[in-house]
Amino acid sequence: MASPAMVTLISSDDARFEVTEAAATMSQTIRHMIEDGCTDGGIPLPNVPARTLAKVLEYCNKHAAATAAESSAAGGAAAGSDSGSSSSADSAGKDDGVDLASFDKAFVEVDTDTLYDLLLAANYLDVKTLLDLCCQKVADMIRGKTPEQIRQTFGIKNDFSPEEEEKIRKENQWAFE
Amino acid sequence: MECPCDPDPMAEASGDARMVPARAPSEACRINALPSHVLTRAISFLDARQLVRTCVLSLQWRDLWRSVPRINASREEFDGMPGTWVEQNVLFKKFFNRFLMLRNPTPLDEFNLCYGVRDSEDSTDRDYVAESEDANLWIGHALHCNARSVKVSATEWEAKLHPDPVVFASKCFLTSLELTRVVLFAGFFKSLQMGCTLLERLKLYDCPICDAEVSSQTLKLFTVDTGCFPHREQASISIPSLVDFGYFSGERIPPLLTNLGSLETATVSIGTYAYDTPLSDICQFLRGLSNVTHLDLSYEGPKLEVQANFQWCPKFNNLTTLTLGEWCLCADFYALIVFLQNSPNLMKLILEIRKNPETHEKFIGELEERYFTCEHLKIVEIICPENWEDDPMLNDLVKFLVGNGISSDHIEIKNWRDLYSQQYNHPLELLQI
Repeated sequence: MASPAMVTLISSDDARFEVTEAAATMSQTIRHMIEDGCTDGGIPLPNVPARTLAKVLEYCNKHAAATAAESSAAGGAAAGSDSGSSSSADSAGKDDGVDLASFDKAFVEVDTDTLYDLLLAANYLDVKTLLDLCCQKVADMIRGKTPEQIRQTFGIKNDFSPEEEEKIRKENQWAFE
Repeated sequence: MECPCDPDPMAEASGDARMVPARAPSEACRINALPSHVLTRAISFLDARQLVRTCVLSLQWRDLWRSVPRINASREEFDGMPGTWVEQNVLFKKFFNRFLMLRNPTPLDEFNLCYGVRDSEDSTDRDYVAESEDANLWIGHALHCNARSVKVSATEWEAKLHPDPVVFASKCFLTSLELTRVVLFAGFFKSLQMGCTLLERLKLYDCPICDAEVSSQTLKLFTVDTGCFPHREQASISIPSLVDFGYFSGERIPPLLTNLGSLETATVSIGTYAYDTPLSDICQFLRGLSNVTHLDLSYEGPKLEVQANFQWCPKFNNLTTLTLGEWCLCADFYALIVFLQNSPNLMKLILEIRKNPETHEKFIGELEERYFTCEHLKIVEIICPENWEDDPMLNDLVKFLVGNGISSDHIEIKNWRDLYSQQYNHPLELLQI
């Protein structure tokens, strides 16, 4: 089996990461850079520090490997079909689905600072599934909480004057009933 | 509710000047420093009522809810409210109409609605249609805002929704539609063809279907799960673009598959336990699937005896992965052998045995020739209940496979319990048994 194509990514603090092209191109930003031939001497990612990039790549490696396993489990026959995530008949595919779901769940069990770092990186690198995963986590942290609890969780300062707050509550009374 | 929509929801958010707070956020508050389109995307995962309630958090959050790219509107948010179920429905309708009225006309990516009308003895069809009127407007609004994915589910078991098919007839950008317990009146599929010209994925769960003819030029994935085609006539499905077909509908007569030339994967179930399905219909249904590379087939009907030499199984020349259930093992592996004899290029066979085949004798017949040749068959997985591992039938099955040239190294026997307990330390909802 031929060894997979590798690319080098360079974090904002000059750390170098060797990853497979399959993992790297989960990022649309990197995919475009590779397509434009900007890979000589490594791909600089000036917005992403090493600590965050390592974490993002952990996600990309896992998901790229699962995608590869799924298409080889299918004998390569269904490769290119965009229906892979659907009601696949293949039991191997189902296993991967469950495995990935638990990986994802554990992956975002992080402190809020790391979560913000991941959100910014996923946004900049344009890794849509990772961005959604982190966004979903933020929503999960809001769900079921009172406004005061939400402010505490995220360190949001209530900058309404008492009159303003009264007004906004009144305006949106229909959602608080 | 006008909507000058750009199909790209990202384009809108970054240029939205209203998101910039008038007062600088406190330096410690990193969530407020996120780009506004990231923040709106994050809170768009909330259900609508909780979403609006974020308006009181701070000045910057006041209007965020108005511009989210995804709407999750769930009647269940009103479950705990005072009043009867019907009164709660009224509250939800009032809330959600207001929500859509006050929302900014920003493009939508996803629209998820959980709302239904309950069956009750004194209600007539007219009530349903009238009660579904609001839902027509809501779905129409979502499509008008360029939603690419729409999911509509009548909240609970007894509830249904009766939208007007015309809602789907205006040109839109929908690519994925999933409906649960939604009644699909005559004309639904024609409307989809007229308006939803980009639609690739259609999943229908427990949706009574009034059309007998289903055709599409764009669908790649189509799932009908415990839906009902009309009883009086046989349904027909013609979707030349279809790649992945799921059918678990429990009709006595499976639909006529007239044009599924691109099909690769079929996960299907034939028969319903109450009535016999004529073998000729099974034969015809399978013929419609004969080009697939992946087939997962269950037979749910009563015991069926095949006359000697009746050719009911077509040649599956492209088939590489085949999944069958316990129904294929009785008697003497009859249906299994027929499939293997007709799948010359098979690479992987999965036998999912959930019940004791002896007591679930289903599909039986006699064979003169019990030999098969699948020279590419290198993976056989037999997944069975724990108590079946010592069963003589399993032993016979392995012997039979080995006798037909399958190396015993290529046969793997797993039991369901170990399979799940080894691999998953997961909540049960992830296990699709």
